[in-house]
Amino acid sequence: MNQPLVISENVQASLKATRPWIKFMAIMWTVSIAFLLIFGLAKLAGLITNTSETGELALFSRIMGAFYVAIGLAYVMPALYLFRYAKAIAGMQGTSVVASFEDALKQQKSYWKYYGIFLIVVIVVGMLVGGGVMFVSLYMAAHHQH
Amino acid sequence: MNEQVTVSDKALGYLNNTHLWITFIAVMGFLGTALMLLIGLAMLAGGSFMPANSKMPAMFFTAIGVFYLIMSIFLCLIPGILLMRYGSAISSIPAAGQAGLESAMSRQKSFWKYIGFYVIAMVVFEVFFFIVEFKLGILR
Repeated sequence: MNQPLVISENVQASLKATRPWIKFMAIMWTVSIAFLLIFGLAKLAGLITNTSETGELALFSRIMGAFYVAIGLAYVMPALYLFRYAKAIAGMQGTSVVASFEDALKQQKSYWKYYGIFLIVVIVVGMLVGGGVMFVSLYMAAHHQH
Repeated sequence: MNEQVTVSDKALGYLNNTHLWITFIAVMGFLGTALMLLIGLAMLAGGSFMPANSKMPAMFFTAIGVFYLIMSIFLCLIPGILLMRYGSAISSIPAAGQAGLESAMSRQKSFWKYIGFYVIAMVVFEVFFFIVEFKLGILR
């Protein structure tokens, strides 16, 4: 690479065209967070229950509520990174082009890093839960035979 | 813009770090596609082997199978391809220079535009599905 890379008009135009979509997705993340927290907290508090849910079923409903709250909280950072990314793109004017471009790429990197780590955690937890359910099912089936 | 503004090493460093994560996520997308295709085909096969007098209608399995097949393309395959294209554009920057950077920025725009349209389509679909369910009286 002999020529230095520049923040050309094409680069700026692409980023500016990306901005509305980034902002839209950040808003969608925020709406998801609101739904998950409201629904999760209501389930956790026992406000949303089926009359047939007693004992273990009611406990399971509350565990699901806690799960929704946890997922809602985990979604806060991606939404925040996207809002910051959109804000940095909007700031790419005049003398602040270099700093804003750097900040935009930094926020974008943070978003993808968080998303990647979140994906790894989801896969590992999914495998552990799946394995656990399979183990308990096999144990119960074997126990039932004797 | 008359004055040329140079991209800093710091900014290039952020792009290189992004490349690792988006490649990983794209690969996960391709694995997800394969998994969803398998589930979809299994559902279709399950539907065709369903006895006629079964409590669960074969149509239900077929519909779920088709849904999985369609979603594997729109939810996993297309985003995976778009991310991979973005990643390859980033990795081409050392050789391609300015054209590589411009291509990377353009491809990331394509990715976000697609995701935006996908989310809008999903929201519309869910609202439509909710209305249909409500009209059929399932929610009552």
